Amino acid sequence: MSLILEAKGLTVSLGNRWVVDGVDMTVSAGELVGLIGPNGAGKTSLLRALLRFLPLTTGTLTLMGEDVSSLPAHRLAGRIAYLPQSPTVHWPLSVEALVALGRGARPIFARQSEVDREAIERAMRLADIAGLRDRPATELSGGERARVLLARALAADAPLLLADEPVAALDPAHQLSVMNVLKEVATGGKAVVVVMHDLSLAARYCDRLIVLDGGRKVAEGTPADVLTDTLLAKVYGVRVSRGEAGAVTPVSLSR
Amino acid sequence: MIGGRVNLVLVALLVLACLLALAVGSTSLGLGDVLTGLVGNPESDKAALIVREIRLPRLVAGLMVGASLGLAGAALQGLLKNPLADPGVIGVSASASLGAVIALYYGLSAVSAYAVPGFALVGALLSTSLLYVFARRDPSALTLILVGIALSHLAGALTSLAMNLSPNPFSLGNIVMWLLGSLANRSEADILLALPFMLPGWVLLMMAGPSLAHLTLDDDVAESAGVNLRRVRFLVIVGSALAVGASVAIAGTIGFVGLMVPHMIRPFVGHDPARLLLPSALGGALLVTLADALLRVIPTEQELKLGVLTALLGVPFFLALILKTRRQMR
Repeated sequence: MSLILEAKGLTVSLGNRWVVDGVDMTVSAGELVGLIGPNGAGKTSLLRALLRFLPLTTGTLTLMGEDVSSLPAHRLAGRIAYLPQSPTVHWPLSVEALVALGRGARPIFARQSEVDREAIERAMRLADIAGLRDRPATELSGGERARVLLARALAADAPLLLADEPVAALDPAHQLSVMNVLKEVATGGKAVVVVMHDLSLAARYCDRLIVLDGGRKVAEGTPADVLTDTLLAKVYGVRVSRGEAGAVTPVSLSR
Repeated sequence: MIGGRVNLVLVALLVLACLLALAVGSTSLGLGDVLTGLVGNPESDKAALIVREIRLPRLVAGLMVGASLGLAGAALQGLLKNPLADPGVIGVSASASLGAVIALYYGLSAVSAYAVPGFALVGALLSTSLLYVFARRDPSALTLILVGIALSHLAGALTSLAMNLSPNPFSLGNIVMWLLGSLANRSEADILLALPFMLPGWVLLMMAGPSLAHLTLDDDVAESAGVNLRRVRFLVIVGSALAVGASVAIAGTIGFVGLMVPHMIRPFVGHDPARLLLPSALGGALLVTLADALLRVIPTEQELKLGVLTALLGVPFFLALILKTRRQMR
């Protein structure tokens, strides 16, 4: 598996608070990595730091062997696709036009290339939204919207996909369908990092989990290694019950 | 594809509107007179004199002003992700007006014909610089709008102050008439003064197109797709300042065109902020040309001012449009 992303000693501060504190992480092609931890643990901040939205206080970030800080914006955009947590769609663009935005900013008057077209069609097929193509993107149900935004990110065809809570606010069926797509993307050879709160889905779908707490990485490994009773009690303050297919369900507060 | 067809339709309508605008006025001309007037000799041919010396400069000035307002309105609505944005919202229109009013207040229009438009341009560029200074730390859409509105009100207050302290009724009258917005008596000199500012303004605004499409989503999503937010803000704000500043310089404040035209066009281009730009320029030119032709055929004792007419016609139409689109978006 080729290494896509390598972060060493990442530290990010907001005001006088360390929101990411000395995090090391690697992500390889073909991997679905879950980023978990309680609210305020620094998951979204870490993701935003990987995207260069937040400046690093210290640490190095390498993407496919190149220092991220020296990559021009369009090259970075070509390598990292970003699926944000519930973004606003400001104009009623058609679903197809919205997905096409995933291909990045085209020069003025440039037309869509054949490669662009294929990537857009593939993304729409993968996210199962080809039937929504002409619908205004502002008139979709929550589940449809999530899949359309996922397709926009997939259309970038970037080696690394960063998804920030893509299944929050979705019903169980849509949660499974989005996670299935992410898994398929990883199996297809991309690297996928997904921030999530649902421990059962994390256990079932992720190849590896990175647990953050207070901005620090407190555990890393396969779901079975990481999601121990001790760690969950320490990080989330919950006791869990375990069911089929690795399901981990919080049942009571442990503190 | 749809965008291309919209542009063709607008160009065809614009050609018809231009012929109409050349034909109507205190002396009505037939289509034949207009066409021969366009190529005739103004010294020997009366129709040529009317068409070439009086109506053509006014028409061209109207086309330029309308295109500038429509284009800037569309780009600003895209940048600020706000359907209520227009060239007034970043304070350019009011500041350009203030510049012109200062020139009129001091009677500089008697010294040079370039004083009023020149001061208007200076006003537009100064206020844009201030907008940049104040919004430097947090250049979000909301900050730009709030600072723009503050600058707009400041310019409005200073304009009122100039009128309040106006040395004589004559200069007050001049200021009031100028503020109403008009294309009457525009000459080739006005066009040549505005064009060097409008042209680069149009180019900057058009260059923002592809990035504006990405601003359908939030700023960070656009940035992750490779959009340089700093660049697109510069293109739209400076482009609007140049184009709209020059418009106000030669025609005063023509309200509602920049706000209304993008809304009229949007459904025909799939609501895409990038594909909206060119048709909005054409639509703005069409609207101003038609309004300026209409006010010349409405029999009033004093010729109606263009700014008055666009606002009078614009408001009811705009309200109807808003109610319709809000229903659709729900």
